[in-house]
Amino acid sequence: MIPLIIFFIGLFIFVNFFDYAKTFYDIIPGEIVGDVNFSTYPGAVYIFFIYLLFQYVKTKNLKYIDITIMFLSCFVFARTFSIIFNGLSYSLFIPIALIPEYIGLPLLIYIRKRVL
Amino acid sequence: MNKTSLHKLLNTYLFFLLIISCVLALYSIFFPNSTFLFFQQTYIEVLGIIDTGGNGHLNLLTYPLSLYLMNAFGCFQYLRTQKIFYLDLISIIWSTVLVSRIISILIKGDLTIDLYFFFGILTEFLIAPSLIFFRNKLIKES
Repeated sequence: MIPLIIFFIGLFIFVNFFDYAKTFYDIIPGEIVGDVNFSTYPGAVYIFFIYLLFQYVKTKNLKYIDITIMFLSCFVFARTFSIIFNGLSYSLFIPIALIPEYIGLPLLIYIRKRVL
Repeated sequence: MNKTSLHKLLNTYLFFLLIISCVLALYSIFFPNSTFLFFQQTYIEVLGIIDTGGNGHLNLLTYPLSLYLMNAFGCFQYLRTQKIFYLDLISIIWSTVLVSRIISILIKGDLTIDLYFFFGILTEFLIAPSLIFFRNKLIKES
């Protein structure tokens, strides 16, 4: 869990402080609230994971893993929806983000079952 | 406030949040380029983010949609089961959105007071504390 927490902290720093994030996500923030929204939504997702995993490490309460599984399911569902509606093209984003998302969910469910 | 009215108020509030999340999810998936509610702009224009080709459109949809879906799921499950677990879940989601919003405002700065500020940003500052308030009240009552 600790490497995962470090990974999400890294992503949070990346989306907030690195200009390359815009190229990586293929997104340009527009004027007015674009810049703030660009970092708020991915940032919220990353903080959510950091908080849940950190709480699990701290308390060993499986409630946090359950919430992580629920959220990851919603995330994968949303990702699948967006692929169906918009298609997919190859970029660095696929091996770094997309594939781990799809592997992460069944892996987490497997670990959860093993813990039980 | 007695226990029954607290429950009624919370259920009404969560029902309202559920409806809002469903509307946002529907707009983000099916009508991103239609006029968004009363904004006189499209959903994408209200967000103020443009994709640059590649997989940008995926990210534009995935991150907000996953939060809308999770919120809708949490509200729906709470209304169905009345279990405090789901109220915890919704409180955590909104708290993380609020923390992320505060950090991004502090880092990026430059905030304009417009319709989105009142209906998008200001509401985020109210929802997380109100949910935590309800949660604490419920725990105290039980």
